Amino acid sequence: MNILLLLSEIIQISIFISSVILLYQKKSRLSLYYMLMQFLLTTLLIIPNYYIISLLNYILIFILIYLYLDSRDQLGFYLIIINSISFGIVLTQIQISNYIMLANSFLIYYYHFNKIKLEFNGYYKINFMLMGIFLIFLILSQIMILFSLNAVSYFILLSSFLAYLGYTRPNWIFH
Amino acid sequence: MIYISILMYKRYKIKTNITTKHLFISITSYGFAAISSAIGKYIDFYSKVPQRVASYSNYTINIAYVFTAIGSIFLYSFIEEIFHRDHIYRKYFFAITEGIVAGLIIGLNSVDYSSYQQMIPAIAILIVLSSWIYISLIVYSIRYYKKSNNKQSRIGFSMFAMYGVFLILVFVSFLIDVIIVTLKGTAYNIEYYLGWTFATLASISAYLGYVMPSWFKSIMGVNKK
Repeated sequence: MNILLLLSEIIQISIFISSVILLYQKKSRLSLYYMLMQFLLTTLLIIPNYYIISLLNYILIFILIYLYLDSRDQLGFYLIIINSISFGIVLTQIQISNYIMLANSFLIYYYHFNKIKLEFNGYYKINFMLMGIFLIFLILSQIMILFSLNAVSYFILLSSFLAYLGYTRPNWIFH
Repeated sequence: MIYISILMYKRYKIKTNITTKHLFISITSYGFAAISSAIGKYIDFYSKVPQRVASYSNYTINIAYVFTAIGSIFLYSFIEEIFHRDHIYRKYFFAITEGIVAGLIIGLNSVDYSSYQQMIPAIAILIVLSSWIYISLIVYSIRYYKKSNNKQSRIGFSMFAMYGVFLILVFVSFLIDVIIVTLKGTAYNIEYYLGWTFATLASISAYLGYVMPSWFKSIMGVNKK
């Protein structure tokens, strides 16, 4: 087994465990979604199955939308519809799923930066910027998935790590 | 139906709000559903290839189902807005489930061209979900009709209830049409045309109930004291 891949998996699992601990400490809905997101990223990294990766990636995108979801946000509502339709297509046509996911990631990316414009102040700034970078990596991983499963693993790990920084804002780095 | 869509769009340009927008999208989607289904029927009618070999209407009816799903999503959003419900999770539930069903139909339709049998579970789910939305529209309309003392509002709510009833009748007509096609093998049944007539009546009811043009008000005697 590739030692780098093994190391990536170990790091990812430790990030996932930290998200479980965080959920236990905070007991908030947001931390539950964060934990689910880390769980899915861990599964993505460990199970190198094309079909499972595609489906889990979709669930991940749903969670990402939900993380930013404001009950009265129309753009979020439209994204949910678009994402649901493409999820349905993915269930029947796995071969085109990555292209749809790529388009989806771009849409979410656009949505995310629309959000930044709304909440571009103090406390949320770093969080949103990091989540933005996370989404860039997510898009990159979508591009990479078209070529190699090994390469995407490292992107998943990077994405996960940035999500960790964005959500938890640990003292050791943001002090 | 397209004419009603244009009227709704004109209304949206005057009164730019989410409610009008979502009703406009809903009516337009149902309009596109009717058009796509009609195109298939026309091609089948004029095509020299027998319908048993290649049925265009079987293909386009699936596209019509996709538009119906989209129309239903926006219809539920309209219901939420107009009746000031706060079932935000139900709104997303319908958006996700109807969206996935629409995606499944698109996927299956392009994988196995015009294979109707494979899609039956997806279509059944679509009918159940959409009927749930239409019944919600009828129930809320009747509830608000009973609560309201204002004549104009009561007429509006009764039109919305009719909108829901006509939409259910669309599905009922198509169901009868499918049964007749399966049992007798006859295409172009009266039930098929009846279905889209109900769809047109539904759009007219929605337009009259929501926009309530002045001529309609005067017919209903709303302005008279």
